[in-house]
Amino acid sequence: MRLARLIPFAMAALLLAGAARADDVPGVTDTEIRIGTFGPMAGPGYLYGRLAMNGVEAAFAKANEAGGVNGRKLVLVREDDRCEPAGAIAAVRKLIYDDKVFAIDGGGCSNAAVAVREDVEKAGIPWVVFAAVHDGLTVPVSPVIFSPALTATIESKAQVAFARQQGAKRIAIIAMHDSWGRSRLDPLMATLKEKGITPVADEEMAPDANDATAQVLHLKAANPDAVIVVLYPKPAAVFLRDAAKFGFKPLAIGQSGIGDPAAFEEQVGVPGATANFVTIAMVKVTPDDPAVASWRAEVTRLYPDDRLSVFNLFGIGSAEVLIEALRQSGHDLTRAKFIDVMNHLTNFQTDVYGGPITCTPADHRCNKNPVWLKKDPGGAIHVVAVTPVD
Amino acid sequence: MLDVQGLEVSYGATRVLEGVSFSVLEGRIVALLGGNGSGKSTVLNTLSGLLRPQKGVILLSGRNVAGRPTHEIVRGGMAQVPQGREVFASMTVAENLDLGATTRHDKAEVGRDREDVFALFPRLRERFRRRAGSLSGGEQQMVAIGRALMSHPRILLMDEPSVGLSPAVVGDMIEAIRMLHARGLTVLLVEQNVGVAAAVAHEAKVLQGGRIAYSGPAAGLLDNEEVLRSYLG
Amino acid sequence: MFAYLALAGLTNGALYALVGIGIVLIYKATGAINFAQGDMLMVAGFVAYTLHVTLHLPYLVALLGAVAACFVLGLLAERIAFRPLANADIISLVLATVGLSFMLKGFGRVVWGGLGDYLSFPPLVPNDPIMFGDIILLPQQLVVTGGAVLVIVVFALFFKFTSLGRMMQATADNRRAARLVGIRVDRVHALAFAVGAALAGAAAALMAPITLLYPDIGFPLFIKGFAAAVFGGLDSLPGTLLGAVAIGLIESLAGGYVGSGFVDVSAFLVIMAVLLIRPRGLLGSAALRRA
Repeated sequence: MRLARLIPFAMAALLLAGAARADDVPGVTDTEIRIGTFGPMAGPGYLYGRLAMNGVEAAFAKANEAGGVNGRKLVLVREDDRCEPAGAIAAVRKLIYDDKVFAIDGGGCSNAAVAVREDVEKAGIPWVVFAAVHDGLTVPVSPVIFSPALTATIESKAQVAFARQQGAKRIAIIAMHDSWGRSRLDPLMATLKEKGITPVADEEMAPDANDATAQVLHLKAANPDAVIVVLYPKPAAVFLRDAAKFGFKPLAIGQSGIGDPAAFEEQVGVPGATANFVTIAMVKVTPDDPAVASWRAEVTRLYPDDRLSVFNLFGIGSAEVLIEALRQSGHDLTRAKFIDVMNHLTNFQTDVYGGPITCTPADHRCNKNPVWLKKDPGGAIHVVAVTPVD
Repeated sequence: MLDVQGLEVSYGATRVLEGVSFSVLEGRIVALLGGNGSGKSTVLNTLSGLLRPQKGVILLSGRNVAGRPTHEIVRGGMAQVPQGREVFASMTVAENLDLGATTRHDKAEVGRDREDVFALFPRLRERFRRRAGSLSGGEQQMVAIGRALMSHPRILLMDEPSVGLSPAVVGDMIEAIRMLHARGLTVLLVEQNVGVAAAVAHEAKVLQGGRIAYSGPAAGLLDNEEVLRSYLG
Repeated sequence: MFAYLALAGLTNGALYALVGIGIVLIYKATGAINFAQGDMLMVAGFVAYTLHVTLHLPYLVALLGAVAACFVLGLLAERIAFRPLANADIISLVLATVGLSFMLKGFGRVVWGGLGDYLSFPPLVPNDPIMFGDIILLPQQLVVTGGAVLVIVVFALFFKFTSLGRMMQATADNRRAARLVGIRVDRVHALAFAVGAALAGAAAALMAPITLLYPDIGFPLFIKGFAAAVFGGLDSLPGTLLGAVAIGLIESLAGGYVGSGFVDVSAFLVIMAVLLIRPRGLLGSAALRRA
């Protein structure tokens, strides 16, 4: 086991030695650097795929207009993973072996993304994760995978921390128990245990459920101060709708799976039902924030039918990190050099993330600043707090 | 009334009918006999449009209906009473009868025709709200005949009406066929039971090896040992 | 607690019934299970969404538009996935409608997959909870339940009292006899698919505000509707209604009294038990068979 964990490092070292000699670095020419991306291009997950990719594209366009990175233009190559592990493996292999990209900036769906870890490590290709939160991407640390996106554990810790900050003593949980739900529920339970908290209720909901009466009645009976919501937007909407029906309006603490509070308010569809709902964003700005006016202009210029969304910002943030690391790697770009720069990226400020991005060789979870978003019923989305997690 | 010339029908590579020709004159009861697999049912199904002939002509009142769809043939005045009393089991007797009138345009007359059927089979009147599937075999046969009559046929094709019925009920069936004839219907009766055919039909045709092998009066059939032995086993 | 759970179960049962009776309708007339029924519902939901939300047409127009679009979709489905295989074995038929299901899902993803993760369909009535004594209801859930009952009654009457309905039943009962009385069986099959799909259209426009819309919504709906149909006997409209309500109630009560982890499995456990004792389902006329 220990030996197996060392293999990627050994391979990275080999790669380092090999790349130093090789003149032709994959995906890099005198004039351009090809970067691959993958994620769902359609279906409900497209927010974490296509929209994030559009954000990356906007960041690349901006960098290219300013003369590129060390004189080279950035080119983005997209592959659809259909939000499935098999699709992701095919997409990543295509990026590595057919498209021969220099690095990857992608990964939308957690379970699809974590499935490609082995392929990515085998190829020694650097990967900056833009949306997937699966702990398995960064724990144990992978020599080539860096995540400026949040991770399930960081979000879980933030959920618990936020509940306590708000004075919640009695904490309840409602969660999906599929692979997505489990990947968040397990670290959540571990965090609660660590803090000596026993949940007052632990309810399950199916991703396609159209009713949550039983869950609401159980939770209401347990009388919690806060309910941690580990659900997709649809079951979460059904839950809050039924909760409102019974006049049950506890502090409801979501996570980045429910990334758009405005859309969520519509999905719930019952006036006022989302009044006590907060959710995690990977980014500290809302799309109509004046701070991102230039990004808003860039996205509408490239995609006239779109308006800037939170999911574009995921892509923009990850691309800012990628571009900075490429810049610091200098003109004689190699994968090894890029990985080395990423390993020591310190306090890099982006336009979007909740705090500075810092990666270390021992910890590639580079973003530890979950941002809390809230939308007052009928009002605007605003940032409630940033909860740094160590 | 019905004139069949050179009918050839194959199932895949197997030719079942190899040029069948016969005619049924108006007002006659004609029995089509033959052993198992002789092609009797194939003839009826081709006449009804359930099968397409490769060759041949089917003149119904002078119009060639070979290969035409079933609903046109029914509307043209030829209806089939299928073998095994294939009634609409989950539907009532009344609904079964009404469905028999599917191809007619004069829907207003349907109620009166139903009365006619009840006059012919009084037992059905008592059972007309019952599910057809719950009736006895003989009663289901009545439903099947009544249903065919509802289309106002001039010629009725009957596929082995005596199969599976008790001897007493077979007697009723023979009586019913005579009554239909008395009301002016032409009948083509496919039978395996030579006794039934001899009792009710005017003429008999014997099908063997995909052709008509014997054609003659039905009355003497039981005495004609040669026909019985060589064709009907 | 019981009253709340029972009410929730009834509301969910109404959703399942809307899906289930479309499946039964097509099965009754053609002997085929339409595995694409849920995906037809999905397409119908998005058509209604496009008409109502994107083009701002009145809800009733959207509902009728979804019904009309699905009617045409049903005709096409019969042509593509049923007629060429009407005499083939049951496996080919199943595969054909499963294939259709995937095609529709792909179509839904491409056409509507880029509008949002779960599209919300505005409720038809102001959605503030209302109280009847102790009972709390969301008006939209009342609309869906009432709509489902209405749609089911209309279709039951249709089967019983229109000549097309009777021809469908006759064709389902005995395809050969149906041809012999002059029913144009091909046409009846096409109409059955069309009417069954149109039913999905009405159902989708009714339930969209509750279920939300997404391209993958079809299969989970289908499986519940199909379960309701099998539970009820597969060829019985009242049986399907009963089966749907039973599944809704079992899920809700199991969730309430046993645990929320049992919502999904409880109904299927009960169905399996019932089918073991009574293979023809609650009100089925015969053990499952190819008509």
